[in-house]
Amino acid sequence: MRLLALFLITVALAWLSLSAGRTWLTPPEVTRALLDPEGAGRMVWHLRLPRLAVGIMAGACFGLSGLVFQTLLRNPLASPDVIGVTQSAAFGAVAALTMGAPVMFGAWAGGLAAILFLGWFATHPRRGLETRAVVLQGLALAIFAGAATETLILRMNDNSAGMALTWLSGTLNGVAGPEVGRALWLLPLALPLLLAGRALDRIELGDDLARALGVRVGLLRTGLGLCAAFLAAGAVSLCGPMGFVALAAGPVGRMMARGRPSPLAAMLAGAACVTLADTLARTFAPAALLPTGLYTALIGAPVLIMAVRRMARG
Amino acid sequence: MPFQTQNLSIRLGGKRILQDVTFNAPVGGITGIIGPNGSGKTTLLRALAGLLSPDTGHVLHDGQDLGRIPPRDRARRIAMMPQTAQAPAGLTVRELVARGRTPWLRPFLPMTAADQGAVDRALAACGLNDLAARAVDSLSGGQRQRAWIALVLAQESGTVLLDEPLNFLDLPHQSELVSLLRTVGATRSVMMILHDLTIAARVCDHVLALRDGRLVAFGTPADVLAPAPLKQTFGIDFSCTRPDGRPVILPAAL
Repeated sequence: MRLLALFLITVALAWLSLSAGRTWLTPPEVTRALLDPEGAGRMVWHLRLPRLAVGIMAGACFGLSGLVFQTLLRNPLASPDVIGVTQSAAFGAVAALTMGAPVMFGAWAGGLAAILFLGWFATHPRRGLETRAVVLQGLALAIFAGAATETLILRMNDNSAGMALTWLSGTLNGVAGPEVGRALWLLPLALPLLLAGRALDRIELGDDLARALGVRVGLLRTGLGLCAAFLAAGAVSLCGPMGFVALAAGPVGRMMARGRPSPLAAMLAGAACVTLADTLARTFAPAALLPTGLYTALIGAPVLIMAVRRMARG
Repeated sequence: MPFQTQNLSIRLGGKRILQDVTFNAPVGGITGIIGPNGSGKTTLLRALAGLLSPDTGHVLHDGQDLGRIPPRDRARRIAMMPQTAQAPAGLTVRELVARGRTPWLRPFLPMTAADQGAVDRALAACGLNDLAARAVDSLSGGQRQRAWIALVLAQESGTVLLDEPLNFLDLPHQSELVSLLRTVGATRSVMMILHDLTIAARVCDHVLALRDGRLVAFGTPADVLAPAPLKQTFGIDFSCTRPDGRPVILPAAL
């Protein structure tokens, strides 16, 4: 029931996003535009729809990745934007940009490097992966990668540096057809995570009990962790490191799924958050073209605080 | 016999935790594992659950090498309650107990009527019928411990491994849980880690004593819970008396 409500909210926000902008469209006008891609719907199909689609997919990727990391590490803080995966991916993307290499591969390389670093340094010879160490070392990695990215940007010329800084806050400006194609690449990575709800739920009981219940915890943690890292990094390459979405979508999705880790709910929460944020970015101060990431943080922070408060009260 | 170990040795992070442990655990009844802290009790239990693979030697379960049984099949045969288990916030007792059905569930499909029946039986066996809808984190220590045991029972495995099930319980709850464990031991093979030697002497059919990762003794409580093997295990003197015909075992210095 709650999942259905979350889905309907996301659809409503998507509809709002299609009608909002410099010229507002009424609901019948949106329908007409959607049915007529070459005529009346040119603006919607070429500008608003790609932007909406990429925003939804990036938000869903961030949300899913956040829930998976938080559950695998049994820590609500352990989202990719806190443990440095997002920041490393951003560094990789900016580095690829300065070298003229494909941005998505740069982001993937950065995300992969972050996962390997954390897996290597936080593994205790006797106790296995120390989930608390991952969060603390990840925090250090996030700060390090952020500083490295700023160093790269400071060496750019003013124009590129300005664009890079906007991108670093997370923006959907300039998103068009090619980005939709790249976003679709991420769907195969999301599939295993969407199907992993039961495994995630069991891993929450603790590694030993999950394993005694027949769950292949080591294999799943590696596989799902890699998928989640590639998803977050892929989303970074599409729209920059959109703040707060990954951190907030997990707890919000849980609230919608009666406390259980629900990949679908986290995806919807992430998608809804980015869609709303981008609609605000385009309507609140359209001339300023403020980055969408500013609004995800503005929405995400209070929603996260409310979700945690509700969960703490049971 | 459920478990047969042969020269079982386990190293973790370069440190030798278990060395040359060889024993045959009999079918049915309760086997207690005793030993001082750091003697390798939990490591032995994790090895018996198939969570650790031996460096040398092997563990057989019903004559089959444990390492060759796929995890899901293994979980249908051997259940374990580790000390590290944690109940996620807000989970109800029934939901927690239902997690024990994991190795029996069909992928991506909900529980069957048979699964629900197993959960009902486990709840009833542990006296949790009235608490089934309560959140696990709102229970008292004794109730929570019974919920974890119910999870293990719902797994319906022939062998049950318990890591210190009596820990952190007051005496009334300990005595209540011991009678529950006795009924479990009547139909399944139970191996559990215990600290209280008097309880071990009264509940267990067999006792296994460990010291520094080596097997000190394996046998009936009368044989193992005697002053000489206990001194060998713990390094201190024990007084083993029978004031009313039943054993009481305490450090002699107390």
